[in-house]
Amino acid sequence: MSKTVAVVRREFLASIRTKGYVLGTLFGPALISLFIVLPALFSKMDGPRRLVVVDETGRGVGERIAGSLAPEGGEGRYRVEVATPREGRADSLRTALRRRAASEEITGFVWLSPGVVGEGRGGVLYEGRDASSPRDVREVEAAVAGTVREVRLSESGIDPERLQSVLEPVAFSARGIREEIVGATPDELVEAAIYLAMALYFVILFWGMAVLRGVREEKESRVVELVLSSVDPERLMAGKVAGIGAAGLLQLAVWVGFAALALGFGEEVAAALGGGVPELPRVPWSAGIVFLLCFTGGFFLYASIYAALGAVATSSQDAQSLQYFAVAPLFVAFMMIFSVLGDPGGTLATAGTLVPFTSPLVLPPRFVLVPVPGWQLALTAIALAAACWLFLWIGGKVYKVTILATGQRPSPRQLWRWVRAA
Amino acid sequence: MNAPDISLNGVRKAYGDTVAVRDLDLEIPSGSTFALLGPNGSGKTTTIRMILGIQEPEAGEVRLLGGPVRPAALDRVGYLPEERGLYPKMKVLDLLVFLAELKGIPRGRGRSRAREWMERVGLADRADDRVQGLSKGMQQKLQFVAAVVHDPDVVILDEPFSGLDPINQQALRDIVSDLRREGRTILFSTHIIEHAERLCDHVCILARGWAVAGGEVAEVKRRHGDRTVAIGLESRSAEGEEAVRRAPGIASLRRDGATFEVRLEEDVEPAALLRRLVDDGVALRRFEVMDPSLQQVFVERVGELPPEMEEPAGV
Repeated sequence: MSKTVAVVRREFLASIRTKGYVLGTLFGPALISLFIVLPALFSKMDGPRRLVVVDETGRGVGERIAGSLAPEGGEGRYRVEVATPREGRADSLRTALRRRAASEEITGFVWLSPGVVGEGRGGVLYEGRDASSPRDVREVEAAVAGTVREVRLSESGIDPERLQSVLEPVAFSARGIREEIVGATPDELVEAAIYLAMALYFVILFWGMAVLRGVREEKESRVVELVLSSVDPERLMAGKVAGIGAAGLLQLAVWVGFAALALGFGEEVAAALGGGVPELPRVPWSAGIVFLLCFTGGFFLYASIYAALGAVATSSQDAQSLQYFAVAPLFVAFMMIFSVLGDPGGTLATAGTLVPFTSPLVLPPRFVLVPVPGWQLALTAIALAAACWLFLWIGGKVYKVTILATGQRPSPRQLWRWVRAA
Repeated sequence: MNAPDISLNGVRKAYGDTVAVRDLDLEIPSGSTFALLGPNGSGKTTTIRMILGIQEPEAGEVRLLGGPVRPAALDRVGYLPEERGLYPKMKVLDLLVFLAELKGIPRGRGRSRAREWMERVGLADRADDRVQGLSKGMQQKLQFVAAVVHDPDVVILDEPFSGLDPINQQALRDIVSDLRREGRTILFSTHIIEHAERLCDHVCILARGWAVAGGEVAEVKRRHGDRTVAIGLESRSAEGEEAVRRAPGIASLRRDGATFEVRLEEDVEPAALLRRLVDDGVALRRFEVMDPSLQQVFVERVGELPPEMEEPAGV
């Protein structure tokens, strides 16, 4: 046991003491930080939007829009002044405003035509340097439309608040029968499921290839013969897979931990910087456990295959072509996710959950979308554990018979004969 | 003779249709320095790998330190493989501690033993360097240390002198001498006959997977020695030379001045030849039954000497 621990420790330290690992580990938190800080910083750097609302309605609509865009005492994105064109001077005002916008004194101007709240239903035009910015246009449009609608209602003798309550949308929602998921809509969950599946796909792929690389290096540097004179190949392979897997888990834990911190404090940080955090779907804690178990099981299963392929390969190019034997089932599992998202309770989703090659990728997204029966969870865990054990065992045998082989790669038939004899 | 530390009994190993080792019987006594001598492809490395449990025999039995090849026994064995290699990115001290740990040595003890050995071979100030940063000569030294850092009872060296610079050849010879003095069992494989002759007290000659001769070096020579006789004539007379050439039972004859080196046929005793020459009235100055060199033993047992065995590596 202590020898396996020594191998695990060596592989773990060899993995984490590389520049690539350190950079990769910092990449996640850096990305999350950018996600929080950048929007806030950018909005600060942009400075406020200076708008002029030209009100031809004569009913104080411009003042109300200004109040909506830039509430008193607030430090919002907008600074608004209201102008009323004198009789016959509309064109010269328009020209003057365009000149001010061109000289960057103002961002743009909103022109409310006289009929916008009265008869004739005149329109509203926004002209500005930021007219191509979806966010600015959306915010200005929302403020103008909301205000104009309120004025129209009140002038028609309808209480806007009463109308609002009458027109309140019917609160229809669809939700999985599970207590933990509170407040998440199906769209948010699908989004979360896709994130989880993609993360698992890339993490298993990346760390599986790290195992293949490790085996290749050991074989190419010839050190493997010295090591095998002290520890048997099965233990060497298991230790290698566990050590590299532990490095992967640590990196994942750093990312998840930082993401949790970001979800907890991100809003405060962003608010302090004067921005906000984009909405992220929230998933139950049990999904986190399923995710970690699927990563561990999936990693061990695929890493065993990668290790065996690394041992069989007689050159780096050979390893490159052989790795598709591991990538192919993983890719099938990844593609299966899209069917699972469409029908998470269907037969394909259930089968994908129970088959060890696909379950690491299929189960987590399915778990956040629909309740998965306990027996399926138990069977998946047993099948995945059994497959991990089986492939570690077969991988160990292949490793044993091929790790010292050089020259031509053995044919599948030869390999089978060697493994049976080992 | 001491009890064997390593014994092989009827061991066989094949790779596909190629038989690497055939029905090999071998006993390596405790405390001996034993050479596995043979040309490339004679089965030396396969034999060593089976002793170390890296490969398993198809038939026969391998015993190590009194029992089957088990991890506990392997912990008492040190190994210098022919295919040298270390983890290039590891630091020197960390590497030695790790390799000692794989032999069951706790990290603290492994560290102190590694430091002692590094001091001894002149690597003390390179403890924190990465292996790939060492010169080739230093990596060779580190590779020896990796074989002995855990204080093994049995040391197996596969073609230890191949690729070594002269300084490291001397360093390795010194280490081997020290290990011998300390009573450790040393098994090394070589295709250089002179190495086996000068460094070992026991030998096994392998050819095409067969053990063609084996035992104590002196005994092996003796066993094959009574076939070679040096004959010195009093004078370089044509009659004397003719009498030697005419004598029955001579397989081959080589003349060097007034001395003949004669190989006798299988069933002919040297005494019979001596009697015959005396009866023929040949005036003899010297008649000596010679111990052959291992090279002669090899040639006699295997036939011709393969090219890679002809040039000694200068030990």
